[in-house]
Amino acid sequence: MHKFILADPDKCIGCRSCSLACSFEHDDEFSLTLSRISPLWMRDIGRFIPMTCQQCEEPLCMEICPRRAISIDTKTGAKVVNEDLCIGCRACFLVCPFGVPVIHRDKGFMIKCDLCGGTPQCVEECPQKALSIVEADDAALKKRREAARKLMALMDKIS
Amino acid sequence: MFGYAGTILIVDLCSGKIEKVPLTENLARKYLGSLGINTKLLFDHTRAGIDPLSPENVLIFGAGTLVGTLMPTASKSDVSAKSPLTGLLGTTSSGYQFGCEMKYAGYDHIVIKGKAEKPVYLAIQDDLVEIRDAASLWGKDSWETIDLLEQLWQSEEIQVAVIGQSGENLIRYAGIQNGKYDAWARTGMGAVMGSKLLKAIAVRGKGGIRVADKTAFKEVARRTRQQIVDSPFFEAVSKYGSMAASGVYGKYGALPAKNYQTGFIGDWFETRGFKNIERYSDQKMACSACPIGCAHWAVVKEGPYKGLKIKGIEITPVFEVGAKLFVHDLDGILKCVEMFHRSGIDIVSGCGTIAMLMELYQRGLIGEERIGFPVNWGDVEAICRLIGMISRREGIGDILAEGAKKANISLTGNDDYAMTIKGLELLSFDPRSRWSVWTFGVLTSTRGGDNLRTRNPAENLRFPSVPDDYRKEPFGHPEAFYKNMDMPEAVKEKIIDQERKTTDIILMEKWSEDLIAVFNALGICTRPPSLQAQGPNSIACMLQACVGWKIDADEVMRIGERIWNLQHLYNLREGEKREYSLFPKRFSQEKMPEGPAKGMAIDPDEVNRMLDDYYEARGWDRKTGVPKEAKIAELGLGDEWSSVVIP
Repeated sequence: MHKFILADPDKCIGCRSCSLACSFEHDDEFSLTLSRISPLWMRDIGRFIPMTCQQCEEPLCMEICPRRAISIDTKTGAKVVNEDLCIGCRACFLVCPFGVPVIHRDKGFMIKCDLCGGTPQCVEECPQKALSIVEADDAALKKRREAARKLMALMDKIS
Repeated sequence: MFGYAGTILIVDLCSGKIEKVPLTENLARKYLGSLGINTKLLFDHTRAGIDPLSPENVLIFGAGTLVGTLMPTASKSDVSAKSPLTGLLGTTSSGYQFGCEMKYAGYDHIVIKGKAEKPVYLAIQDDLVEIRDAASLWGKDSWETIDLLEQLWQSEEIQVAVIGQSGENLIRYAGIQNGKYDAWARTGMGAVMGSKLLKAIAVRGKGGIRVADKTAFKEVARRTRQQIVDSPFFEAVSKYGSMAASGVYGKYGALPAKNYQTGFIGDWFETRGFKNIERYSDQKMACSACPIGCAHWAVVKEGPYKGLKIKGIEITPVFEVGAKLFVHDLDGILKCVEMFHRSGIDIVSGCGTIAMLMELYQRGLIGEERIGFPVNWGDVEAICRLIGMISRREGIGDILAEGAKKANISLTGNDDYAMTIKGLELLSFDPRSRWSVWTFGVLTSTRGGDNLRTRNPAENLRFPSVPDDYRKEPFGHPEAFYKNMDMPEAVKEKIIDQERKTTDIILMEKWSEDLIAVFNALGICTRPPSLQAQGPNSIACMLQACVGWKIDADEVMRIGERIWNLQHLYNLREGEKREYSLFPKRFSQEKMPEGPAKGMAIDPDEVNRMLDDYYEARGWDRKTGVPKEAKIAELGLGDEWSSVVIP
């Protein structure tokens, strides 16, 4: 089963609860530097875009890792890092299209979203329900359904 | 210590010496943080009677105890110094992200002493703290400075506290911008920063905050968030921000229209009511860890200001520019707000001062030849010109830069049109049309004419309350709300009258002030959805989980009372007199001319008697307001008290 975190920028208010919940869960401290998710303010479009691992189907990070330190969590499909194998070489960072992998400032290995084993704390703590954990196969339908709702609202306005 | 970053950073701009002093548990347990510790540091680092714009003044930034964590709304930091506007305590808080970044960098407090030889800025990257040259930044407005610093640091992640030209030119009510759209606005802290030739503080922190009990913290944070979401004001404030209250003030006729000449504006709701937000944006913006997101991103889509993008359709600028200066439309209001932010002027004091000038002009007490151009109510172009002149101290701007009271006196020889209390321009609404804990609180506030430190946690602004009974405020909520309030039963019995459905204004004042002092020390938000959801018991739970103290509701309130008394002692030390706590004459001598509160005026004798009883309730001398020995012993403020009564 493959899951990933779907963000709805229309709902995000940039409060960073996701980031804080993330580092708290993984490192027992509140730190944006250790967070695996960041809501970024895009001034030009006037929206916050929460950025985190997309849990790619063909993960370049996994392919390029010289130590084979990245594997797939069979329960969630999350791409997870073996801390003992990772040498912090940043090869994954170089190939990731989203800037996801960062090296842990104290521990020296790469950190990224691991979906918290199935109950992502960012999703749990998001006060605006802008984040959800979705099954990859259902994600498109979920998004289409939301788009349909918006379309309906628009049509209501016109008629 | 858990929760805290653990260090006070002390920077002496004269010698260039940078010190890092541990924040002791004693200090923390006694004054909690932010406002509390700031005031204590100010007390200790300055002697009585200094010139606020001299190198002897110290400028102190303090981030709250809970700031940087996931505790809902914990984002606020406080700036303190002796105020160059009032000569008393300068204190002002701001949310957004600066306070968090300070703590991530490792500092709960930053104390700036002395004065640099040439313009500098303070660069903080975790352990690395440097005083850097700011020649290329001096003279730039706050937005330009932030852009330049982001380029220089090649980072959009830095948090910047910065002054505009107003701070540089020592405008007595210059604020410090917290990023582009937020500010430590009140009491002239920007002028203190300018007097030190300190243009900005740029912070980047990569550390983190640890708490005492992870499981408990998570639980308390979630419970608090749910309480905020369940608050009767969550939905409205989340949707419309502070603008949710804009309509009701129009309805009561409590607007500060044309320098408080009237409280009533006929087309207020259509032109400046909360529904207008929808034309500008659908994007809410939150401070760190806040579930509400009361701020809104606004884009002006047409007209002369087309393309202006700004965070800030807020009730304060809308009241100040929209009512006090009578600007009719939100486009124009946003343009003025941009000018205030860029040049770094406190919007409330700026509007109070400009409104004073406009009223003099309206009454023919000052002519066009003195100003250089007509200054009619609502003229956006004239207002923007005046803001520019004030920030450069150019022409009449040099006089206006001293604040409404001093400027009024130098222009006409009296202060009849300066709407100030303790020298601070009065914020927002007209007390003749709505009398409440909030209104009485502008007199007792430790920083002067401002209600943000004195608001009632049980208030519902949707209910009118004209001053017929000065001592009682009618319930604004169903009885169950008061029954469930987080307040010890013994206190509740005295404050809340369930039978008559009223709250005792004087006792509620004291309660609210002590409680809000705690909020400002913790760094949590005092807006209604947050203020109403929390009390001493829930705060004790937060502190147990975050810091690990065994602390109860009584101790929480005692800390609040201590912080309030310490601020008051500072003011007494700097020469505050009881007679400073007066409303401007207009509110007693002129009756409200129109609207629902038509004919109402404030009875100064009634208010004076209330002050007596408020002092009494506080354990202060009824007439002088000096705290009595018993109260001082109870709060452990002996040293500070001695420095006041035995100078």
